[in-house]
Formats: sequence, C-alpha cells, structure tokens
Amino acid sequence: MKDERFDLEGELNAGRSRPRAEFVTSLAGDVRGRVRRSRIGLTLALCGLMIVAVASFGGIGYAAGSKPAKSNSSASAQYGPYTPKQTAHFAPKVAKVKAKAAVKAEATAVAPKAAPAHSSQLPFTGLALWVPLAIGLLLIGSGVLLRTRARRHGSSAH
Amino acid sequence: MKGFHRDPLAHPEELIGHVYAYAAYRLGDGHDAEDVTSEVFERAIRYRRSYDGSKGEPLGWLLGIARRCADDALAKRRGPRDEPEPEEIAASGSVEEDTVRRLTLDRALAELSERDQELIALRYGAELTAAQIAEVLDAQTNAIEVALHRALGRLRRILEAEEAEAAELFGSGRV
Repeated sequence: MKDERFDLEGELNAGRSRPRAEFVTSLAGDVRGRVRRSRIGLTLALCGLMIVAVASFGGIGYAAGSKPAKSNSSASAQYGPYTPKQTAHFAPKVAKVKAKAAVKAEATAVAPKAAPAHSSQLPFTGLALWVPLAIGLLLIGSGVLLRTRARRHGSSAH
Repeated sequence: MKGFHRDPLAHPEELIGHVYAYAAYRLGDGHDAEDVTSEVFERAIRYRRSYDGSKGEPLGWLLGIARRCADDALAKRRGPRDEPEPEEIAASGSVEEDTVRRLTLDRALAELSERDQELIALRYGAELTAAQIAEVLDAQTNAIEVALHRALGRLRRILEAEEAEAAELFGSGRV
C-alpha cells in the first residue's frame, strides 16, 4: 500500500460510517422530548415551591384580605387628599352609595373579629410556626442532597 | 458547531452523526454503534446540567461520554464471547473492490493499539481537529498531532505488510 496507490487519509475519510436516517430521527425526537419534559417538570416544581412559600407565610390570605393602602406619596403630602366635587346631577346616586357603605360598615363592626395569633403561630393563617420551618429545612436538605448527587454523577459522566 | 451556548443537546441530529461515526470506527458499523450512540445520549440527558460550556463544545463533552461507553462495549465484547474470526477476503473482481478495501482497512485498524484506534476514530470518525482531540483527551495539541502521524504511519505499515502477504499468496496461487 504505497502512498501513490493508496490515499490512506482519503480512504479513512471515505470509510466514515453514517447512521441510518430512521435512527437519527428517532433518537433526535427522543432527546428533544425528554429535554422538553424535564424543563416543564422543573418549571412546575419551581412554581409549586413559590406557591408553598407564599402560602405558608400567609401571603394569599394577606393579599385577599388587605384594604387598599392610604397613599403616602409626596404628591398627597404636598396637596392633601383629593376629593372630587359633587355636582347636583350625581347627588342622589352618591347618597345611595354612601347609605350602602354605612350599612356595610355597621355589619362589619358587629361581626366577631378573628382571634389574634399566638406568638407560635403565623399571622392570617394560624399555621404553627414549626411547619414552614420544617418545610424550609426539608427543601434545603433535599437541595443539598440533589446537588451532591448531581456533582458526583456529573464527575463520573465527564 | 456554532450556536451551542446553554443547552448542549439543542441540535441533536448533527451530534448524533458525529457520535455514531466515532462509535462505528471503534466498534464497527451497525447495532453496536447504534447502541453506544443511544447510550451516550441517554447519559447526556441525565447529566446535561454538568455540561460546562466554558470548557468546550458539546461535541467534545459527548465524545468524552462516548469514549467510556465504547470502552464498556469493547470490554463486554471481549468478555464471555470469543474474538470473532477475521473474515476471509476474496479479491474477486472490480465490483467488490470497495468492500475488500474497506475490510482490509478494518482489519488493519483492529491491529492497532487502542490508543491509536481511538485517535483515528476521533480524527476520521468524529471529524475532530487535533486541537479538539487534545481537548477531549486532555493533552497538548502538538502531542496529538505527533501521535496521529505515528498512528497513521503504523496503519500504513500494517497495510503494506498485508498487501505484500496477499501478493505472495496470489503469486504462489494459494488463494
């Protein structure tokens, strides 16, 4: 096999095998599908984690029960609260709305107030303090465990 | 291989071709090479978060996995199964010339050391440059260039010896 008769590098390049088209299509589809599924799983897990974190500290109850905050802006400090002038045309309607508001305020005053939370309970939900603490510690522990496992597997894969 | 920044498996088709060609050089064309290619991508999906784009391109990372998978497959093949007998090569006519040349080349490649086989598989199978091979094998580019040159020299000598042997057989009318 002399150089002039046998181009070794050309022969090695020509001898390169190509995978079957069906094999490539099938494997590429599988890879794409699994990558997509794992991304969706991760997104859902993160969303769930956020909801649990917000809910365990009473964020949902707080958001649902909160009144619109009084404006403490620099504009209100400078000009005072703005009250639109009432015209004669709207006067009956305004009176009606005010009467409704008064009835509502009376009903609220009569309704029993929620029991104040103890020092070992979270506000709004009354959830025991140790529950979110335990969940937090569990999440941190599992995160550390997963990272350690991933690193170990990653180093063996490299 | 541009456009791979975050997800190493964003364009699997091209990568499959390279990994398969590498596996086929190490194990032979067919089911074994397909099995190893599938195994490589299986592991790549599982450990893709360990891929660090700053250390190199996804192909280099995948071929690092492929080397291990091919070694495992070769070890399994050598284990309980006996080494298959080399096929008889019958040089009969110009139609079969390509097949014969390919078989001759395969037999000569099989006689090389594992290191030489790997270098040739990475260079001519996976189509990597010497610099990329150096990255995969964690070696100097110059050392890889020299090693490749020597591997090709050894392969050429094996092919020359086989040709001389074949000529002798034809000359004595023993085929």
